[in-house]
Amino acid sequence: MLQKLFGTKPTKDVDDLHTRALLEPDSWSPPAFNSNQIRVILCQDTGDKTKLTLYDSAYTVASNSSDDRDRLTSELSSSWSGVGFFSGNFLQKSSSAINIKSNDPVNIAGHPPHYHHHILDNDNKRKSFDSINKSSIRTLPPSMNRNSHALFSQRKIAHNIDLIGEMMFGAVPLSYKGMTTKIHFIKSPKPQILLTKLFSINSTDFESNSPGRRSSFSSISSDTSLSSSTQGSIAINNESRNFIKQKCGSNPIYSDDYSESSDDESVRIIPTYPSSLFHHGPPILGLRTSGNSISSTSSLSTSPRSNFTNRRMRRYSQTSMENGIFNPTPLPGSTARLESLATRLDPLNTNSLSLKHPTRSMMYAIGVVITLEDNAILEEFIFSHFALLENRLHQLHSTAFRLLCHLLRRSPTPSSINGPNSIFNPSNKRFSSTSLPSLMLQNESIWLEAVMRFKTSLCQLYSTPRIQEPLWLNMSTFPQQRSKLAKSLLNELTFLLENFDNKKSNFFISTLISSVLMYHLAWVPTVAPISDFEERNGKNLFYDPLWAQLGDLYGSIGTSVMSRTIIVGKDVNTVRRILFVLSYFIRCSEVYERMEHMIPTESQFEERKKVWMKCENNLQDNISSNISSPGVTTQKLSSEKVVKLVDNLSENTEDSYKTKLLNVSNSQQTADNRDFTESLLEVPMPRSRDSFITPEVSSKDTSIEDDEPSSKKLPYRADELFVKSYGRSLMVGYCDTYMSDFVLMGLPSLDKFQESLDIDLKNSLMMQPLSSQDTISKSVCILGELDRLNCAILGYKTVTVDDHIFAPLHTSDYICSMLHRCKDLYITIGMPAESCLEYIEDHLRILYYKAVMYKKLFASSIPTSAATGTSPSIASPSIYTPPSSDDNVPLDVLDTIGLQESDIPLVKAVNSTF
Amino acid sequence: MNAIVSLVHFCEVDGPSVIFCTQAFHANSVEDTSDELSVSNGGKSPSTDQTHSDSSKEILSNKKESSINISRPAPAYCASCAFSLPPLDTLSDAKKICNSEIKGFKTRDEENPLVSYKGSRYPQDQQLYAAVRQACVRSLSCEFCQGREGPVLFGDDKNGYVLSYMFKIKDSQARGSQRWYSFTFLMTDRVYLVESWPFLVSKFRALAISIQTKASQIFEKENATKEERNDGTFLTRSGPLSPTSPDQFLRRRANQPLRSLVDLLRSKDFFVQLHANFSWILKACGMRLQEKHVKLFSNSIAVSSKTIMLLDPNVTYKFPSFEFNRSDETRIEDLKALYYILGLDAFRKLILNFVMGNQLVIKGNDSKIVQSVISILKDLVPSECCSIIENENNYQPISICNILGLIEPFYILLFLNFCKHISRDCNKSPKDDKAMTNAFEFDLQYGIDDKDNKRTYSAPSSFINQLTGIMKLNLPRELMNTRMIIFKEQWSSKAKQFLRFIKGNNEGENTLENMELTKQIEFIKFLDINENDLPIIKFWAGCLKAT
Repeated sequence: MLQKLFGTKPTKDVDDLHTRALLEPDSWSPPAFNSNQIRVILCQDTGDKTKLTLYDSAYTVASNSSDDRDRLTSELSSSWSGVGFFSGNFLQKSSSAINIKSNDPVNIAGHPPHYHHHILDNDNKRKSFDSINKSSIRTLPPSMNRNSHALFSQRKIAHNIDLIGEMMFGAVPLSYKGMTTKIHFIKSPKPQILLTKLFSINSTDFESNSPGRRSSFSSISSDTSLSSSTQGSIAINNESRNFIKQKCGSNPIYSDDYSESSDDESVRIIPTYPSSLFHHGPPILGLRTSGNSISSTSSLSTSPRSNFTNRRMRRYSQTSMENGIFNPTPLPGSTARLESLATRLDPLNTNSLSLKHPTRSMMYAIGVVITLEDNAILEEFIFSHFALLENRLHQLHSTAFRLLCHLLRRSPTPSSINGPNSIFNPSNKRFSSTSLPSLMLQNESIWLEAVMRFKTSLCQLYSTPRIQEPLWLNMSTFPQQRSKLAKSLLNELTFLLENFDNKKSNFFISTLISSVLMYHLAWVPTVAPISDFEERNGKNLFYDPLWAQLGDLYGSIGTSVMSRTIIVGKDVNTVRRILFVLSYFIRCSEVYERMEHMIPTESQFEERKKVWMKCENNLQDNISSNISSPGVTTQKLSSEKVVKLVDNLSENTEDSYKTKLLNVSNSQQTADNRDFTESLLEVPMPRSRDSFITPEVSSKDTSIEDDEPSSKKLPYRADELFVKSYGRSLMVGYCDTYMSDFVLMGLPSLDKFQESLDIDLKNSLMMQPLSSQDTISKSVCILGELDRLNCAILGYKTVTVDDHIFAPLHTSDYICSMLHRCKDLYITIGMPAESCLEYIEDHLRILYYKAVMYKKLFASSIPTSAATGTSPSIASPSIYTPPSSDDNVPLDVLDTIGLQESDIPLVKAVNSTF
Repeated sequence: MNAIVSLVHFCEVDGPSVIFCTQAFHANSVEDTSDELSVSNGGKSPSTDQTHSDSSKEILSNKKESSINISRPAPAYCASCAFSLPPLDTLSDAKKICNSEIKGFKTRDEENPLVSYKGSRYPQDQQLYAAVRQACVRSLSCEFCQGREGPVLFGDDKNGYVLSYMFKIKDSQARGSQRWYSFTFLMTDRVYLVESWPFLVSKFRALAISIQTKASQIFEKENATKEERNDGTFLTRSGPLSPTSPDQFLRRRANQPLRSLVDLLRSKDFFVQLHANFSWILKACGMRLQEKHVKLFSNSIAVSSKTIMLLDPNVTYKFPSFEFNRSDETRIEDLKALYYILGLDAFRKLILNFVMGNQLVIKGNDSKIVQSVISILKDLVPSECCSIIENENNYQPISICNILGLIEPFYILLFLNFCKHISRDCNKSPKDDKAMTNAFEFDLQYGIDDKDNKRTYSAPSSFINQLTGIMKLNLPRELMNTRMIIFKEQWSSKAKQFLRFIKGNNEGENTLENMELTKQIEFIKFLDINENDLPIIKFWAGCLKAT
């Protein structure tokens, strides 16, 4: 009766409108941002004032006429023919994965491209190397000029390359040869943001880039005595692992990365194509540490829920500088690690452990200039989504790094490096003066492809319409929307269960939800009881809430598995429904932004001079009692009310600053810091006023009264709110084309995008978006194929990148019965939607407890034997013997907990969170 | 915020130098992070020394720059680099002595009492000093910023990440009448720093503007004075302190330091204000983004905050052990022990009556035993279903409590009362049976018993049979506790749904009996409730409703 959809089958249009409204109730029109606003530059520092431009995407846009390009192209491409560089498995398929068409508006004409323009062209897949060269000729923009140098010098003025070069490389060169990150704000002629990655390449990098060398890296990575700070993370991880080992013994549960049972029999797919460009190189090195960091993560937790806090506490202590610890967060992709490791690999260089190679290295910079065009949303987006942007930038860098190494090695200087050992010859000084021809990469298809990929992913990340009301987040943040959202969730969920969750349909929906619960584990802390401990400490920790939210969304709760979910199906409406429902199960905590303004200290200090004379007599009074005032925000965020504080400055000047302004604190107050033995002058904290909080929580009392949806308009539109945090930014609806980064997405088919997904999955292994010292141990994507009524997991493990994961997913009987009972309660009994949700939440909590018990069951093996000796009690006649391993869990053990075999993968996954 | 915010400038004499910096501290680090910290320390220490010497020499490849003495400097003698305290004359003589020892400022965070902000010329830690110094040199002489005013972010894995906001202020005595300053914000967390860019830039800009405005006013004044004095003919860079003798003129040219900011801005408490501003920026930047952990349905009925389980691998499991002498130690450890003591029939009877809401009177010669029984039983139901009086001398009716512990020597008694808990007004005269037991002998009287009803007695899904089934499991205590929590959660959930069901179906008026019978049966079936357990569910739901 509540389900209108069951009455008469709605016409397709009505249904389309309905499902569209689920995901996008409002229009989605953030200010435009297209790839023309992104300019990518690659420069070399030749030591001159002018930097040598190897690539500038603005160049092709500006120039417009030449038919002489063939000659230059063949020149350029000649350097590529028959290259050993590619003979390995370096970049064969992916080079043609994106085929730049000459009529592609993104590339050439400067017309704003539609954001879901099909960039990926699969027709040209699996080309031989010759054809790549041909295609690069074919795809050459019609702008190439024979006299590129002359042209360049004309252009550079127009494109302020000098200014940008100065910014990228700095006015004075640094001796540090690791990667430097920079951000500049270009004020004129028009506001732009410049993101720079500055890096060096030295002779040893050539070597390290050769396939033969690379294989020996794994032996190096076990070396933990590296002394440069970039190695710190590895060393620490090992250190903490040892520490934990001592503390916990060799209890297997702590080294047990959960793995779905199907993993063991996972279908090993022999790739039909060689691994791509992104497959190789630096990041593999970091992977060795993954096991360690995982074990340290889980070992630190002492209570079931505390890993939730632990992850944050770790982040806090990692970034803290209070005790003199200074560990800057490593960069994604760990290129710095490669470089230093490569340095160490060099037999002649083993003594110089730092990243210094003064004379032999050459500085390069990748610059990305983003033109803001008065788009405040875009500006905010760049900063708030920097973690994702930076990942993309590092992928670009890793392409550039390999290309440049290759080009430098093959540089046609007369005495160019011929043998692998010649560069180690100290007499060979050619390298230091090696410089590449200007605009060398302007037509390099591999590079162009990488640039295109970068631009596209950036534009897509910005402009793709999001699921505007992700259910979990909106229900918890806006209590007044809860009943409305609960109703539509239950309507859609029950509809899906009726139609796609029976034997015939392979229990598609409950399989999908089981899988999502298994990989996007942020729901666990939302049902587990909160301990006082974490309540107390959560507030005091300085960590980045956006970082925490990103980790929640990707499911990196306990183990550092990165998970995404893609629903594939031709039936738009059903896919939309599924996406909508899943936005309830993929969870993260809300991040609020507090806009605080300081009342100018000038006015606060105004009264000081008069006051000083009065107050010196009671200097030792407790100052804190005097500085609290209504101007200071005392309202906590837990309050449901909008925090709108009136600036009470005029009234409050009296009691706050008049009474006391300075207080000489004696040494006992500062004893907590060994160095601060001298007295400190106590200065009161300036008062401030909050103007507002986003997302704003409307006060409850108004919402209870009226149920009009119109009265529940948020102060921010969804297309403004998404830039504030990841919570409303990483779930998108039904898209025409595959896109990177998003956690949840619908697609008509994956066929054309399998390769892009594959590359993304591999790439995300190398990224470190969620924690500075966790490396990603596994990167997976849940694939729900509606048309085939099939769910599967695919992805990669870090241990060996070639270890492709592909396994079918199965439903958990527990989840299945929970969902169906919920459906019965809703449909048959007519229980209110919210109470059905409460039913789901209760049962998720029960599942959590079952997981706790399951873990305890296997953890208790050691103590039991000790306990048996001391219990001559009549009360417990028999001795409990825990199962020896959880490989084959005896059925009676499962019975004890109330689980079935099908629940075990899910339960293990839950266990990995604490 | 895990950050150090500094004011740095380009000194005409000393080059780039740090003037003042403020850093946040936690009064006592969270206990549990101490391990973590020591771990990090341990991993780091071997290389610490080397890192220091490296970073001090490595700042610039430029040889001239690298010769800058980066080791801990003596207090700045250069006036223009000086950080100074507020005027001494405003404090009394007694404080003057004290003041001479003062090396910095401290500000407390009133929202977060554990956090304080300490300001001084340099960070106390050597390694941090090197990083701050590096940030200073790079922002003033390496990084390029359009117009040399505004924000730049730079950094690397080794030296940390810095947001630098450059600005210049007018000084009639300075070269080109301008002095160069920068606020630097040093962090190790690169991504967090970038995310904070908009906030920091706006705050630094405001602070810079306020300083610039003040300086410009004074600059104008000084220029006016100068022009008056010199009649506009002698336009050097000297201000009111312009040389009055050739000697002074020469000394000035020999790179005599410029005025300190306190003098330049004529603001004696400049650094107090600066520290207050820095502290506020650190605080507000850390508070800007906040995470809120939410639960859709706030409470877990079954588990109170006191029964949070700890998963400690080192815990040793104790089996309930009993000593049968009447020492003070004697107590009943858990439900399972009670089960074994009472035996199946008495256990069933006791539990059934209790969970249905009947009053339980427990009498005994040992208050500890009575208390232990009470604490075991109360955990069996949601806390809303329990009102307990312990150690009472007189009988109290069920309107006051549903578990009553009576003190009476030599006996443990289990009284049962037929009063329904939901209808609190019912009979005050309990027709209690009494059952007596000596030591661990006990008797149980009154109360309903389902022993004779074969059908309900053996219903597998019923509350009591599920419970006795759990009691029979051979589990260590810790696991048993968890199993009981699961059991309780399951039944609490049923009660919650039942409550909603009643609420939804009888809008206050109708009773459950009038409800459509088939629907009720169906509901019970979906929730997997045995018909005989309805009284239990009703009692629990009633208690939940009341709260």
